[in-house]
Amino acid sequence: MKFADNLPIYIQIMNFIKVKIVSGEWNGGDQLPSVREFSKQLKVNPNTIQRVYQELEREGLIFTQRGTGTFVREDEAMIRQLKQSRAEELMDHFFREMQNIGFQKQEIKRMVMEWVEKEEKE
Amino acid sequence: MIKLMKYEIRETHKFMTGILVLVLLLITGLHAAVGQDGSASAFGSMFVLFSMLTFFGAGLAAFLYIVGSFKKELYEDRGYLTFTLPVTGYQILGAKLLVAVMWFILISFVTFFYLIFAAMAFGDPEINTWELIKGLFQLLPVKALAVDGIFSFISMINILILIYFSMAVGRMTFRNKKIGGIWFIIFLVLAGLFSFGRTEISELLPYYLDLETFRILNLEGIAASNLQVHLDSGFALNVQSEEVVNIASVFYTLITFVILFFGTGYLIEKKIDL
Amino acid sequence: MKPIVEIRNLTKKYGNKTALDGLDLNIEKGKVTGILGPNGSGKTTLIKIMTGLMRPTSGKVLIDGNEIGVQTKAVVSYLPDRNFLYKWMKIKDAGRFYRDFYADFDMDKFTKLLQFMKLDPEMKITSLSKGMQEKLNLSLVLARNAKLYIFDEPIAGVDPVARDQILEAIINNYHPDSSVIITTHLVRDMENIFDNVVFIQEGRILLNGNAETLREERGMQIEELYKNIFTEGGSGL
Repeated sequence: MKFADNLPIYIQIMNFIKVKIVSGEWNGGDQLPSVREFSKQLKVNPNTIQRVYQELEREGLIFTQRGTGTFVREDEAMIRQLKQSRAEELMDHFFREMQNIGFQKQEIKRMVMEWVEKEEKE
Repeated sequence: MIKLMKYEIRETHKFMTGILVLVLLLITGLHAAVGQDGSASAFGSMFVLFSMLTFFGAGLAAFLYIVGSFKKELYEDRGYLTFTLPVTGYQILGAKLLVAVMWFILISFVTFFYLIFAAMAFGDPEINTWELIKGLFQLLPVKALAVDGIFSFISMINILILIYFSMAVGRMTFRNKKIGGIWFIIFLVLAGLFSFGRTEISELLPYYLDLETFRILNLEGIAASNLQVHLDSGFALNVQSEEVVNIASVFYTLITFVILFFGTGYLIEKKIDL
Repeated sequence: MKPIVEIRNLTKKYGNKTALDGLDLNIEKGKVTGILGPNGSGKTTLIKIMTGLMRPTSGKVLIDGNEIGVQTKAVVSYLPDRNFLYKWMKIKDAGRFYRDFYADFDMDKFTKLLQFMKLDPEMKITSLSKGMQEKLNLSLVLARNAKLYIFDEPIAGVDPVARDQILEAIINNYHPDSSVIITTHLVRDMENIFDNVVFIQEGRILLNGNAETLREERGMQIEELYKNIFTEGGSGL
């Protein structure tokens, strides 16, 4: 994975995992790679992965079973909620960027509608 | 320290064995060239001259090689290995000196005995070998040779440690590797100072030990027994191969050795920046 | 927790040139610390003092509570940025050399590292390319179970494949009881393996902190921070 420019690595890896869960690539009950394995794959410090797992556990997305490993939590509501907050984040980001380049909310709304219609036709 | 010596030997053994083989070949060649009747052809005398030069060269090369092995540690990247090992500077220095001593003993002994062997092998085959050796030992001033050997040995080790010391001082004072040859100037100056000191001290305290009788002599005693005194090397030799040594000079040599050894070790340990 | 390295008011002068200027620094135990700075910033001098290759002009350095000497050399595993092995050696001889001198050298680990690096123990040191040489040196250093590993420019001048292998080997063999110090000017390739970073210039510490906290505070990666700090005038601070 490639890291973006403005966020701590652990947050970027957390987001990466969240996307995997939300998209259904990683399902409830799936086992995550071990800290060492994951740090090797991403070429990052194991302490960073450790922190990622701790934070995700604190947020209730994953859980660790002593001796067996770390797993994605089987919780539909949690995943829905995650999906929701992730979507909000993306929308937030989108609107902020559009406003940055000079579009007003109404304009953006109109453009989104047009874009959706165009997509549907194709 | 044994381990340090092991790797010092592995580093130097090829070159040293090479020198030894060369010397042995030359001795063989010499005997063959001179021939059994003792008269030498024109080629033979050329060969003798050439061999003498090569003997000298081989000795010098061996010596310089030992010197170079220390230089490698101080002036080249190998120091990054040696000086980060969990050993003291004294151990590193001790290992290098002991291995050098070992090589010089080995080479001189093998050369010496091979000389005798070659003399017999190329000599008259009728003569009984064992008788010849016995005769040889009776003829040779064994004691004088031993004393000479020990003293030339000590002075060589002293030169070696003086070179090591000079290199350490040179490395410490001048960080610039481009003037790495500075150690040689330091060496010449120090060698001059030390031999001046030795001469002074042996003139100041002119008491000599006669190695034949273990009597202490003063200068009049020496004059009476017709001994030649070599002040520079601190010992004397008379015509009957009887030897006397200047006592003060011997102590001087030993003390400078100890000072130089610990001085060099201290510099390696505390002062040198790689 | 007590730091693995404590540096107090460390100064190093060469004649009238000052390489380290009253430097104070603690290196955290169990962490990977990156020492970052351009050439001539003093980072190599700092490393050389920690490994016992140089003596401080003044000040104090303690490793694991001890002054630099035989005791610290036995617990520090140092990777210099040059070829320091005997020319006559084969790779396996280099392993034996390390086993002979370092009680914490693990021959099995060395063999595994060689396999990982695809190095043949029968190869002669003199026949190795720059990248292979670097991989061998790293294998020797990592095969020790040392308290402190010091890597001086571990990936400088090696190709990208070797670079990845070297990074992977460092990550793989790092364990939380040991501490790691890495100097580099190739910040982009290495920044993700640092817990802490120390920026050093003209023998002084400009900035020292947790890498993630710095990314968060400054809103940029360490590489960008490095460029900001060390681009002319050092205006980035």
